[in-house]
Formats: sequence, C-alpha cells, structure tokens
Amino acid sequence: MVQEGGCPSCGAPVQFTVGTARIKVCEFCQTVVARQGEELYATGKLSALAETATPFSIGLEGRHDGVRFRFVGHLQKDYDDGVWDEWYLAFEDGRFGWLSESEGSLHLMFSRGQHPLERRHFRPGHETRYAGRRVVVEEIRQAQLISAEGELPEDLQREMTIAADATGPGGVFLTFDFGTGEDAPEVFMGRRVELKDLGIPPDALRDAKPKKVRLQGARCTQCNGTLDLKAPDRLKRVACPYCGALLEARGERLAFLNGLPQPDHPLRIPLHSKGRLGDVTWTVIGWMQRSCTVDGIRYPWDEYLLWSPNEGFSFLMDSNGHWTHLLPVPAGEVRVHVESAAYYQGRRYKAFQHVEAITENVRGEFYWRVRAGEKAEATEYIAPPYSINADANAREVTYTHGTYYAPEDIARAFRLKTALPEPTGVAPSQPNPHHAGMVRDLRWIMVYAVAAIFLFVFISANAARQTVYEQEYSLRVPPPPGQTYFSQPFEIPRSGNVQIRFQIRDLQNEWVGVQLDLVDAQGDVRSVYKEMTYYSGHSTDGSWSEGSRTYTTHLSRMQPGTYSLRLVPYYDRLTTTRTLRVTVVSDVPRPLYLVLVLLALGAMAAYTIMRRASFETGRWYESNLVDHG
Amino acid sequence: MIRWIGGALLLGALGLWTTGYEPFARDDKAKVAGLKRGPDGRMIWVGGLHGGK
Repeated sequence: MVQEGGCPSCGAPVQFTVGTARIKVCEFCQTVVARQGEELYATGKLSALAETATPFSIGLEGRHDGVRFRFVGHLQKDYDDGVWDEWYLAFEDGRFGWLSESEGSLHLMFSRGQHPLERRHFRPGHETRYAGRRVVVEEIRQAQLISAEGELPEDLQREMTIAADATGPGGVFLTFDFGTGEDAPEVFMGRRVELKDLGIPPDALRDAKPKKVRLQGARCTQCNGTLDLKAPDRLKRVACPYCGALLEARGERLAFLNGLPQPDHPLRIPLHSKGRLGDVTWTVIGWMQRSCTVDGIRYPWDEYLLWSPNEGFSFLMDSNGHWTHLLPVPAGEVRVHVESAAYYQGRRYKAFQHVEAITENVRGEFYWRVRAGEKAEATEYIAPPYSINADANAREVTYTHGTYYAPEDIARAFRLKTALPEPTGVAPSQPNPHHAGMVRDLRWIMVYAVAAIFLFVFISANAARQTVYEQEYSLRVPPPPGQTYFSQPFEIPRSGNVQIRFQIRDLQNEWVGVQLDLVDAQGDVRSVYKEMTYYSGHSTDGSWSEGSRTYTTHLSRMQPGTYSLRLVPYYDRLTTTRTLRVTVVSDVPRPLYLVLVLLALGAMAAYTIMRRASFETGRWYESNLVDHG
Repeated sequence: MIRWIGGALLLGALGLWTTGYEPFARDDKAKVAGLKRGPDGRMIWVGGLHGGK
C-alpha cells in the first residue's frame, strides 16, 4: 500500500511504495526519512551517491527465475577496496532480496534471519555449516555506509560494520552481517548471478562506464609516462612500468604512494601482451615478483595478472621456467583437509607446500591495493597437471585452480618473439613426462605377457612330445672295460628339438658321467656329455642333499630321420649296480623361454615404473609438507 | 620402444618354440666316417667324435 507524505527536511514529496520499507531517502535533499505508522520523521542526512560502474537504477524492473522484481533501494558502502553497491529488490511474489555488486560480480541473496554465531570464530578459510551446508568464509570485511537512495527495510547503520562472505558448493554465496555486533549475524543466502540472468532489457541499463574510464589515458604522476590502463574501472593501484612509481586510483586521479625498485630481470611477457589460454583471450595487465624463504634460502617467482573483459582476472605464474595458469574458484567449492589434501570437482589434490609468500615488486595495474612487502600464507595442493592454490591473509582467502603449461605453449599463446627460458628442476604441478609412457608401456607389457602365455599354452598343447627312444642300462660294478652301448635305430618323426632325460633312481653319494651320441644315416653326430651326481647326508643343521638323480638336456633342431644312439657311461666307485634310464623325446616346447620372456617384460615394467617414480621423487623432494626422513 | 622390444621378444620365443632351435644347447656336432650297420640293424661306429670326453 502506497504511503505518501512530505520530506521533514525539504518538504519534497516522499512516497513509500513497498510495504517492508521503513525508510526512504529523499531524492532531493538526501534526508533519511523514516516512517512510523502515518508519521514521517528525519533520522539524518546522507552525502550524495558516489559515481560507480553500476548499470542499475531505482525503478528498474527485471525477472529472475520467472518472478518479476523491481529495484526499490540502493546502498553504497565503502570497503577497504573501494565502493560497493547493494540493491534492495522487491519481488512480485512478496519476497525481498539484495543484489550486491563487488569486483564486477553480482550476488543475489535473501535474508534468512539471524543465526547464533560468534564473530570471533570467523576467519578467512574457516569452515562452518549453515542450513545443512558446508560453507567456507572467504572474506571478513569492514564497511561504512556512504550513501543510499530509494526505500530500504530498516534504518541505516552509519557506524563501521563487519560482515563475512562465505561460499559453498554449487555456487552458494552467503553474507553473515554482524553489523556493529559480535554475534547473531543476519544471514543472507543466495548465489552468484550474471547480468543476463536478471532479465533486464539491455536498453534499460545505465551506461555502465564510470568516470574512471577517463583514467584510461592517464599518465604517471612521477615520470609522465603513458600508463595505457586496460581495466581502469577496476583499478585500485598501478605501478608505472617506466619509473616504478606506485600510484593509487582515487576517483578520477592517481595519487603517488611510493617508488618501487627496478625488476631484477626483464619481464618474460611484456605488459599489455595478449594471449589465448584455453578458450579465453587474456591481456597481461600486471606483474608481481613474489618469493618465499625456506631454511634461509629465498625462492622467487613471477606472477602475471591477466584480465579478460568477460572472465575477469586470472594469474600466470612463472617459477623456474615452469608456467601455471591460475583461475580463481570459490572457496566453498574446495574442500580442504589442512596440509593434507584438497578436493575440487571430484579430484583429490595432495598438499605439497605451505610457505609465507611476500610480494617484493610489482608493475602494471591491480584490482586490489597491492604493495611491496604484502604477505600471504600460500598453500599449494597438486594433482599434476593441476593444482589448487590458497592465498590467505587476515582479511581474505582466495583459491585458484592452476593448470600447468610448458614454456613453448606460453610463448606460442602470447606470440613471444624471444624463447622463454628452459625450465629447471621439477615444478609441483608439472605432469610427469614418464607417466603416460609408463601407462602405455605397461599396457603393451601386459598384452605381450598374456600373448606369450597364450602362445606357449597353445604350442605346448599342440606339440608332439613323442618319446622316440627309451631304454634302461645296467651300470655294473666294476665297470667293464670299454663299456659302450649302441641302440636300435629309431625314428625322429618331425623337425624340432629333442629332449634327452637321464635318470638313475637309486644314485646315492655317487657320480656317473654319460656320453651320448646320436648319429643319423649320413653320419652326422650330435653329442652331449652329462655328469650326474647326487649326494646327501646329515649335519648339525639337519639333512642336506645336492645334485639330482634326473638330468635333462636338449638338442637343438633335429631333422626328421632315422637315428642310432651310442652311450658310454663313466664311473669308478658305484656301490652296486645302478640302472640308468635314458629317454629321448621329440618336439618339447620349453617353458624356459616363456619364463625368460616374462622376466624380460618384468624388467621392462620395472624400468618404466622406476623412471616415473624417480621423477616423482625429484618432485616431492621439494615439498615442505613431506617428511624427508 | 617397449612395444618393439616386447614384440621382438615374443617373436623370438615363438621362433624358438616352433623351430626347435635351442640357443643354450651345449651339444657338439660332427661327421663320422666308418658308419656300419650291425647284424641286428644297429648302426655302429668307432673313432671319430667320441663325445665331450
């Protein structure tokens, strides 16, 4: 029901159109007009609205999830990183929501009332549960009201207020608004939305270009160099690429803060270079040199700040010639087991290192108030070629998802004229170059092993294994002089190897030498000599034995035909007459060769596994979250 | 690389199994003269190669 009246301060007409609105800001004199029943009274006065990049305005109508809504109120708050706009929306179905704009992101949220939580428990990265969901606190921010317009649900808090932003899986976004209190925050819950999701006709949107766009052609206040800013509407600080002056964007002008040292090496990718990574064209707008110190040794690396009008910001890290592209992800999408593992989109990332990272030097433009000496707790979790990187300070935690790139990919993406340095060492998320080879090799090894077994079984099953000669010989004591035996002719029916088996069942602590010759009708002889020994006994360690009572030997590739055998035994001290059984078998596929093939394949498997493992050892040697013993 | 080495190994083993060639056989080869057939059909020879002893 519409309530009309006059502004208590200037008398201009004031109209309440939303039942839940308790105050309205006079559009003529910025007086905050509150209502109680039919009575209107002033509660203070606000300064004029700051000009921001918001495309919205009071009275604008849209549609979200099929429900029409109208922009009825507008708050402007000053946070550490600049002015944010928050819009009060009245939905046709009776709901009221808040649309917040921060760093170019839109979040549509609805009040869920107060919740019994204490602010002291809130810190960046802190996990808590709300409405059955796991949520992660991303940022604790202080804010102060600057201005407002339109109708708003409650009187305005002009003091510094504190709120915590949190995210959860599935794009859930929450704000725990503590106001000026320490507990029982009002909780706003919703999710990130895109401008196109709000169903606002494009021609109804304000021209979103802010005054800062005029900074585009800004010059350095110290050296007058052209800065050629690429994202002036998001600019917080810029470090002059010519003289190193660090400047802060204040409205439409730049203010000098301090000078920075010259970089200790040329930038591998010049500022303002454009490159395509994935499906996005990025522009290099900033460069940072960061470092950490472990055991007294400084480890520096470079980070390039990339910007895309549609995708926002990302980072490209160069560490020892290894390149990683880092895209921001909501903290709530990452589940962290501190210094153990992180989980993101169903993948496990193993904790690799935790260091204190210091920003040493910067060049180019930045969307936060960057400064030399800025510190952050940096933790890296890896699942090569990917990584999850967490950067946390007292105010916020940011998670990024990294993808490893080889230098040649980066040089190609940014069309660099000079080759990038060769990488040194092993990068945390560098893909193991031997992993794919190992998988491929092991697959082939498995195929060959199975094929070898199958072939042996098949050939063995189809082999003749024909006993072509079998005879027992008595070895008398004492040996008759010139003891020689000739066999009856026998047939070897097919080409192939020949197995000869000698057996003396009761050989005991004796030896016998056997000379065996096979001759064919053409006088071609194949001769073997085998010495058979078998000794056994008892000692203090128990019984023992050595040698064998059965010996086998093989002759290579005999042609089919008629053969005779000549056997000459040699022995001197047999206890008694022994019986020597000689068996000749044709075509006996030998399992020895299967064993040798499997052993060779096993050695190759061991080699390829070791090669991969060696790379991993080199990688994890650099980890400071692994006990190196 | 392992694909080729593994294939060569397999072919090698297949060759040994099918031809009967024994790369590790320690037998000696020779030709003997004076080969005679005895009255019972046995082939008898003397001299020439007499095994490894």
